[in-house]
Amino acid sequence: MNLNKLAKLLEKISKKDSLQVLSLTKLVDYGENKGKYIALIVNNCKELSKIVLDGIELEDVDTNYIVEIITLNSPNLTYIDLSFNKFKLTNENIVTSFIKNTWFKTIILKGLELDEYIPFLVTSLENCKHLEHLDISNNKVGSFINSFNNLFYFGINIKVLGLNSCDLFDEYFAVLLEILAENQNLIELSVNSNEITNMSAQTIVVFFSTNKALKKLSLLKNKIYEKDLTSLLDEENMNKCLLDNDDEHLESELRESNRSKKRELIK
Amino acid sequence: MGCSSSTQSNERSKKPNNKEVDIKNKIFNTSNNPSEFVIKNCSLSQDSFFDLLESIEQFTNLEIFIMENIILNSK
Repeated sequence: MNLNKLAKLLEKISKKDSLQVLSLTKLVDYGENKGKYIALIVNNCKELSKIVLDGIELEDVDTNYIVEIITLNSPNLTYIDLSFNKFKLTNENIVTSFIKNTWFKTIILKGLELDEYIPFLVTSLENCKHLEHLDISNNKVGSFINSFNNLFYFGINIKVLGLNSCDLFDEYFAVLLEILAENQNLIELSVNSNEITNMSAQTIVVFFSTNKALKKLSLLKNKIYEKDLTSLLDEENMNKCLLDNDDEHLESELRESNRSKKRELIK
Repeated sequence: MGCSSSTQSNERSKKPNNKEVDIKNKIFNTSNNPSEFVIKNCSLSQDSFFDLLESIEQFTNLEIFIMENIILNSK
């Protein structure tokens, strides 16, 4: 039994006034009651600037403490990562608590089943005037992509946006690029592992004809390949794109096909 | 750096090393009062976990605490 083990550890850490970075990742089966002591750390350790709570099994009972951490609005705490936890987000608690924080520069909320709460979250973030890096990968952003319109319209200075594995199909990706077309702040957009195909090639060309600020567009693990863009984009813009090579894709499919044939033979 | 079991990549799929780390020896072989404590991709016995708790109490200048992908053995 690992009864409240992480809670005990966090209680000890909460007495360290000098703490600047607390990073806890992939700690499974460490017991309950963690939220209480994480909130205590954030309240006690005034120098804390970065807190990573990624995959540590925070649950619904920890929700109020997570809200407390966010709404504390500490000017020093500028980095928060709550990815891959078990608590359910509702528009009344964590998601909307971001509206009370104006100091976060980095917000990472990967794999939290945000789904229909995406619009509420994005609206809340309009108040985060210092936000530079937002990553909500592994959430079903797709059909809610329109909600990003206001976020970028209201002059938020986001420089890096991560939307990997977000169920982005061509039509949603087109909406995103239209929203970002005239944005002068975003320098890196990552949309790996989505459903973007060569149907988006022309959309990307049109985007780069307007947007000169974006320096990196990562499109790995989609269904659009280097060959789909090389003849359409000039060298400068092509260099900004990170794409899978079609040959690698074909080789990978061939390997998988061979493996399937072998499995069939064995049967 | 006070104590680091691994500086390897932090991919989510990475499995922790089953080999247990002897926290007491690790810490006293490095520094008694580190400002940075990093432990990644390994296993801890119950005894080692309690050593870790005791050690943290002694750290008076802890600025960075990183704990990643650690299995806590129940025995």
